[in-house]
Amino acid sequence: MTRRLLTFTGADRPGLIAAIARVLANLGADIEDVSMTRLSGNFALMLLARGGDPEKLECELRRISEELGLRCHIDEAVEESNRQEPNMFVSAVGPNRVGIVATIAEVLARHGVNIVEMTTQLIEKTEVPIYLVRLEGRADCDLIAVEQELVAAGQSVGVEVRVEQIESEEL
Amino acid sequence: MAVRKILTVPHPILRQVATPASHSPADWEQIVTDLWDTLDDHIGVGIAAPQIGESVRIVAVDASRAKRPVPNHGRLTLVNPVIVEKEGRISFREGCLSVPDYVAHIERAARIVLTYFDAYGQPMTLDAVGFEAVVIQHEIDHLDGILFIDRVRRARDLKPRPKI
Repeated sequence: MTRRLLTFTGADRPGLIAAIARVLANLGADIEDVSMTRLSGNFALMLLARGGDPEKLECELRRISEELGLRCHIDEAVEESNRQEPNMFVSAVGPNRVGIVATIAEVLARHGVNIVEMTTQLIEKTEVPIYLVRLEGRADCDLIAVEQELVAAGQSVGVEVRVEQIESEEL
Repeated sequence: MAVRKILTVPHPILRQVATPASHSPADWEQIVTDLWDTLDDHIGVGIAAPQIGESVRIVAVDASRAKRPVPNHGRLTLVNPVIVEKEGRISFREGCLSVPDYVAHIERAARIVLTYFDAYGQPMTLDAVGFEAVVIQHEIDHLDGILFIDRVRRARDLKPRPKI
């Protein structure tokens, strides 16, 4: 059964998820995973849906998106061969400026680290606006080398970078 | 009396590990007075010396100022505080005078035992629970250059303080 990655974006308001989820339910599509966030009033929803008649689904999703004033993308989902469990946590904090995310992400990319989750926050009521980055990544390389490079790269854009190895134990 | 300016991130003093206070209360009497004057001038339950620009291990805590009544020891001046026991976990929504208008749920020990010197230089031991224990841990973090935003796992868990 085909699994699709559905993306909806647009101005946020109450009832968006209810309307989209109802369309999927009525067409027999199972919602496997959801990630929804609000970026300064912008609604962004990604979901993985399995099943349902592809043509009807596309037609109904286009209709409901138009009705809700959203943009909708429908893609065939990639099947993951092995789950990417994060094993490193990176935090960065410092005065906001252009290029913080790019600088950190480039170091990670160079070391083949895959970013599994990333969030940021801009703190504006301080003397200068502060930018906060938190991310979890999957690194199959020397973490100490990545950490050293991240700290140096952070300094180059004025942010303090901290790296932690994520470990888990059965308790 | 001196209400001092509260430093906000990214001031470098907030990132320093503060030095221990001397054994002579006369050396830090003014800092303690200013800490209380500054705290009393703000809505807050605790303040650490680095927040007023003094990188020394002194904090002022008053959990009786919490919005809801909580077990507390009233006004506490903690000089060179050291947490010697921790127990349990508890999560509170914390804010900080040095990171104005943002809050986040932070998990900390639910009960702590600490040793410290009081405002007169007397060695003391305190057993604090719940909110008061959280406030003390938050303030002691300041003495180690740690802010509550450093304890946030997801950046978006840090939220603007809800308007009352």
